[in-house]
Amino acid sequence: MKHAKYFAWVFLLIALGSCEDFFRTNVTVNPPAYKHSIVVNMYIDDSDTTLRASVSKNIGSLENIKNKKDLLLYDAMVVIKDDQGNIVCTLDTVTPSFNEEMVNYKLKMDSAFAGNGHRFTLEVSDPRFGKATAVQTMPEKPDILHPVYREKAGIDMSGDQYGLVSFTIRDPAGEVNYYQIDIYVEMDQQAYGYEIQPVGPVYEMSFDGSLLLQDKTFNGEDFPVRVRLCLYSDEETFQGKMFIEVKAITKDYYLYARSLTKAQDAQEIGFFVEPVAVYNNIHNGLGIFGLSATRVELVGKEK
Amino acid sequence: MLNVGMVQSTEIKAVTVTAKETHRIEHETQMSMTDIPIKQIQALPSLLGETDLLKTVQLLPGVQSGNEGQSGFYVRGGSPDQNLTLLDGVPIYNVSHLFGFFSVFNTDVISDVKLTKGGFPARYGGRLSSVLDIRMKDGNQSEYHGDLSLGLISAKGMIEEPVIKDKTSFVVSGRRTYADFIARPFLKKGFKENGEEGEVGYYFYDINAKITHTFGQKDRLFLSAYNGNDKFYYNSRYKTDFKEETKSGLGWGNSIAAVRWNHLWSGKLFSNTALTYSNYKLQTLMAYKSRDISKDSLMEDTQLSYASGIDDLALNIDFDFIPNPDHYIRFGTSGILHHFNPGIFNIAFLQEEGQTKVDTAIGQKKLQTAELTLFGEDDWKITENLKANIGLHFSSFLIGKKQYYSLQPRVSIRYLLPGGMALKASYATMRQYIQLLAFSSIGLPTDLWLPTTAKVKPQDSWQVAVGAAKTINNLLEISLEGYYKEMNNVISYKEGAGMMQFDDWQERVTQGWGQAYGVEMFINKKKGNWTGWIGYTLAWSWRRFADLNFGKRFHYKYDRRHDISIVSVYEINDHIHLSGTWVYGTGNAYTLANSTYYGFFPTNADNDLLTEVNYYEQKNNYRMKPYHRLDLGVDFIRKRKHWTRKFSVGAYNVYARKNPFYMNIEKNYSYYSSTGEPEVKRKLVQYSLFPIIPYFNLSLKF
Repeated sequence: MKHAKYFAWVFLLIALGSCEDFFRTNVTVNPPAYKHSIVVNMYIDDSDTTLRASVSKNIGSLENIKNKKDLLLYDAMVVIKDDQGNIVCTLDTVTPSFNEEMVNYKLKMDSAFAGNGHRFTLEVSDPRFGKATAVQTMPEKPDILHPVYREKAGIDMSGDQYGLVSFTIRDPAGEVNYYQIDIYVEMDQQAYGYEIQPVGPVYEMSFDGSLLLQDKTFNGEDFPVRVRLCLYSDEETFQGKMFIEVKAITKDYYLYARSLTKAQDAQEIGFFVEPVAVYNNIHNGLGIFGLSATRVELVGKEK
Repeated sequence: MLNVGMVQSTEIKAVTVTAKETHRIEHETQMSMTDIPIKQIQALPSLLGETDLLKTVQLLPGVQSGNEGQSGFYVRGGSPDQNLTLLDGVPIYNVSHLFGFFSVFNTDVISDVKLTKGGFPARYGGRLSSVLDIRMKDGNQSEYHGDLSLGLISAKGMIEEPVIKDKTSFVVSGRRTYADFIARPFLKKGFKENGEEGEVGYYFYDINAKITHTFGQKDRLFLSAYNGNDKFYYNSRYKTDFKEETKSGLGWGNSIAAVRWNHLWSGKLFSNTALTYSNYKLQTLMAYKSRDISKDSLMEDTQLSYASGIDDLALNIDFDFIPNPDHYIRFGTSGILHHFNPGIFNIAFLQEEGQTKVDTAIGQKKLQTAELTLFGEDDWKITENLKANIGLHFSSFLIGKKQYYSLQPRVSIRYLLPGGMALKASYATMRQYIQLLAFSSIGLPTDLWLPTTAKVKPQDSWQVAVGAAKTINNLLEISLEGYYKEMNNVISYKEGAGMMQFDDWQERVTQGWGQAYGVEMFINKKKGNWTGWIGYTLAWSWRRFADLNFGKRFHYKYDRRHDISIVSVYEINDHIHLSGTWVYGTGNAYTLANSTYYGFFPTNADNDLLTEVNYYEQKNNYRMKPYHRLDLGVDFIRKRKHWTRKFSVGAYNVYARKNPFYMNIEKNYSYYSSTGEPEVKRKLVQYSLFPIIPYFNLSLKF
């Protein structure tokens, strides 16, 4: 045991040493490598008379910017081509407005875009990033039947009353279809959204408050949709006109909206949730090109 | 005539010749298997001085540790739930205390530890990646022994004693952390300063017990049991015009029990029959009650509790039959009844006296399943140099009206080359009917054991391994193995799915494919003053799920290209033993955004929704910094006639390496002085858990 005191000294030194900076357990490390890419966001609805696109670039996950608008690219050529490669339209560069902060390409048309059942290619050519493309087929307009609204249909778990909107989607057979459902009220020429909740497990909430739905469980059949409208007081009742808006959306549009919603939810919860990759369909770039065909119906009150 | 002179003979003392069978790696047909001497486990330095069997297992080649300090282990690209951990033949479902930092096994009562990573004999089944067979020691049949020890976080005691000499003995041991006792007065003072009364604390304990009884020459009976629990509690009481009481707690733990009967039917036939029970449960409670003292009326009474767990009741019978020296046949059967509780919330609340009380249970349906296995295997000496272990394992699983079956062939071959080197090869298919639904980030007691259902398919694997093994100078075992493994229906949470949700757990999971391959080298010195090993693993591990990473293959979180461990124990003399371990591992795969981009999403309102997307090319796209750590320890031993005292000191992570545990992109907000606009500054921060952690431990054996 004659060496014991040396070991005791070593132990003491280690113990004292451990009280210093060693206890600091967070350090800044280098972020993952990335390459600059062009980012394109464009959604075309068959009823659109104005086409809008956002063309920008990404930044490293740790880069700081003063303003998101600094990332917008104005030297790109944004065109939509048809199935034969003919240019259908070319968008013009615009300065983003207050309400459309990230929209820097636009085209006003004389009539709705339509194009149901046709395939379109988005081509964005930028002097720095080259050509980014995406291909989508414009869905057919969805068929909806018997939209009806029942006011004060029940009380939810938190004790609030809810209204119930029901209608039927006539789903085409033999193909996978994707839908986005929203309800709004028009009053004094303004549209107001209401918080909606699905009834049943087949729906998924989208981050914009709408519902996402795919026809996996009802392919080719009439599907009854039931949606709760949250009312915040017993007296609350709708003034104005209520509309349901059902969009038949492309698969890529669906995957993007769904993954973006899950990614935002995961980010809020943080540590205990699997991270979510946001879907993108831009070849040689990032972002989304999505097409939709919309049916809007006035909802009558149940008698 | 021949005269022969006779001399008186000299009587010599009787000489006893003993031969200790030396286990030589090249003689065994079995490959991918390692025995760890318990003495070596106890000699190694450890986190906070808690000797940890599982952390020693993590030092073997082919075995990877998970996050810093965690006891869970990953074998050949598999997940922790693919390891069958048996204590005296009974499965243990949660192998760790304190959120994975300490294992539940008290090494004072452990006699043998054996890890099998591949080439599984037919007697094993039910998990894809490994079998960790831990045996509790029998109580000493001839004399009384004990062991007391005091460490930084826990105190332990063990007693073994013959009840009827050479017939019946018992061993019992217990361990408990004591930080809550020490902190209690300080915490009470803290509550008082806030005008409250209350308690807060955490502890874990475990108790092992075993009784062994010998009935004559042919029968032995064993009763063994284990109970271990972790408990966290927070209670507070506050009194003014109102009286408020808050109670919350989190508790989880295992209980196992086994009755085992060994019978020698003849010199050639031996049987082992066991009735076993295993239970794991998690319970949480949050309760709040308030009363208006002036009116003597109840204001609110709310209780939220959550419980999940698993219960197993099993009956096993197996036989060893040795018809001649060339064959060693094993066969047997087992039946297991599993009861799963996948998580139930009980919610009860009453607001103001006289109002309706809500008392409801929400959650997952309890499930009952039955599992049956049959096996047969023969360890066959084909020629002097060629041996094979050939077997078949059958399993069946019943849940509701759905029944699954599986036939799993197993083959191991060993060929002994001139010069003493053995070439080995093995093939094994495995099936697993129960799985742990775990979060990838950390191991939590909330991770759920769940069964295969009609919707969630059983996991399957096949593995092939080839290798060579040799013992040099009867001192040094060297083995080199290569393996390839494929797994089907491995389970994972879907992207964005969270725990403790009300919806059906089957909707939250996805099943996919896994692949692992690599090479392992193991140099092990088991004899002499200096013992230890060097292990090296070169490995790849992949996963692919239709619902994750857009169906593309990605690195498994614990895909670790290089894994090195150096373990050493040096006995300077009878009084001082030095020990050390050094580990190195490629950083864990981690999902981090490569870049960020902005866009818009159209709405019915006038304004678009702005979108911010953190983009990563694929799941687990980033590598954390490599993990390495040195632990050192010294034991000072003093032996006396009736007792031995051991004082151990050492340190975990001696050079205070900041090993990565968790990473996060953090945002700091400020305002540009020129424009007044908000500025976001982001940085990637790596969090580590343990700097250097010294320890001491004092033990007394008698």
